[in-house]
Amino acid sequence: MLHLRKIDPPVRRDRAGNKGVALLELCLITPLFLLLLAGLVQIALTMLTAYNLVAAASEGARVASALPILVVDDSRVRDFIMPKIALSNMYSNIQITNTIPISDGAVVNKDGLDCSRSVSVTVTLRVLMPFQAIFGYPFMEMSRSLSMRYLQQPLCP
Amino acid sequence: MSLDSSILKGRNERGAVIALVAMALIVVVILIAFVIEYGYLIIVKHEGQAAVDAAALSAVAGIPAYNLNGNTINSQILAERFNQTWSGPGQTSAVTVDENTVMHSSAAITFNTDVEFIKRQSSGGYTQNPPYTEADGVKVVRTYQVPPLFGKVLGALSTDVTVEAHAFVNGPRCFPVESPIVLLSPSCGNTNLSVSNCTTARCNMDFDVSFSNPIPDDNAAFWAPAGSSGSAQECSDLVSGAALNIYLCVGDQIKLSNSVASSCMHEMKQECLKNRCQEDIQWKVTVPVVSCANLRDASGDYVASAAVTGFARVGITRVDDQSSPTSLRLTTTCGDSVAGAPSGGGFCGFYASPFLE
Repeated sequence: MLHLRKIDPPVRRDRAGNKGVALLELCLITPLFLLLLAGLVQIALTMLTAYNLVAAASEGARVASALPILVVDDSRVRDFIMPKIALSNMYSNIQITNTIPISDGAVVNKDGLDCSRSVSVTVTLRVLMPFQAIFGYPFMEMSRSLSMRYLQQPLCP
Repeated sequence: MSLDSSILKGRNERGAVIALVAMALIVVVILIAFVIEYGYLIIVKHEGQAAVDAAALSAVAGIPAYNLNGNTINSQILAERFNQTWSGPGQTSAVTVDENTVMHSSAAITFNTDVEFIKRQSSGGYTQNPPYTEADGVKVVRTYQVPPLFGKVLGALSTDVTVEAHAFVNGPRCFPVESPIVLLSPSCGNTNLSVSNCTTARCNMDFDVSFSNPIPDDNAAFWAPAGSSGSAQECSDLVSGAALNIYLCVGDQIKLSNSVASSCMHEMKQECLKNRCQEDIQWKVTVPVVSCANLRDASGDYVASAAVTGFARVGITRVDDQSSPTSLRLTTTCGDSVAGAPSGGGFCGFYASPFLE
């Protein structure tokens, strides 16, 4: 008991001196962690969006390449692709555009006719970015195109 | 251990949390870097897959030229054309095709190293480098070297990501034809002959075709082999079966003419009666399909010959040889077994079209 009484006061003093330190440290570290977290979420969102864009452009080009009588920015392509964009409610201002089959003269078949017309589909969208939002630029616009040979044309003998 | 020493030990642990946090942070950062690195590889693989799919679907369109004489140039140009912003030869205006990109630069698919011809096997799978007359598909394999994003710090080397695509020409390419009629492609109004026609929903659909002049304004015509006179007699021989062993392949040139429409349609009517064709009894025939885009030259004038782009199996249910223009009622047919077809099996082969497998 005597022994304990001897060391009691310093322990109490130490505890009293540390009061609020943890809170202070938490306050200091929390913004950094939130920044790190926002950065992580942004990287994940960017990668996820890039993946979704490639998938949408790829699928769009496949659909556009098989549609007869394709027109510029064909609503059939848009209507087909729009519901297939994963997590589309995360994005705003989604635009799906396509070219008409372009005759570029790359391959002319034995009848002298172009058989290499191609179509391009571009998907553009805006995604909310938490890290950028801290600095006042909440949205990032991302875009992806894919070109494919138009299938509704003869092969190239 | 006395209480004293315990307290002393507590004093020595000052700053230990910072050290622990710092170490944990390093581990967390390494884990995050690994996840980002791996995620980036997945995106690159996805981009590369889209690029090789496009290249394969394009290259396979050059198969007919390869089948005819081993000429690979069409497939080469078609495979490589999405590697750069392409300005077509002889183009006066700036008509370009956007390049496909992987890691923000050209997909760089090279015919000689990345593309080879293949042949589908009935048992599944494919054989590589078949005789050129038998090739019906292409295989595109491309390896992309992905530089490390964070691994550079540790001196990591690039990672290889390999993507592969197989594309084939849809349906057998050669058929014994049994009818003098040729259908124009879906873009000419025969939407029932669309590429996706091999679905149950599109089977047994009725559609009318008529035979007037000029042909591009209509959706069907009579055909005759290239070099022949295209006479009414030849047409009748095709109807009656007197002209035997007429095989047509995708890419074959045929003559188109509707000048024999009245007389030949009369023969068709007789044959239809013999086959008792009516709404529920079909006179089934395999007919060639050509693209109406091929029926006008650059100046828009009508040309009377075209290359076969595919085949359709249709049932004739009505022949109208009295009206002007004359017409037929056809029904799309799926799942028929066609004698002489190279695959030997059932088919709903329409409009020859590349597809991925």
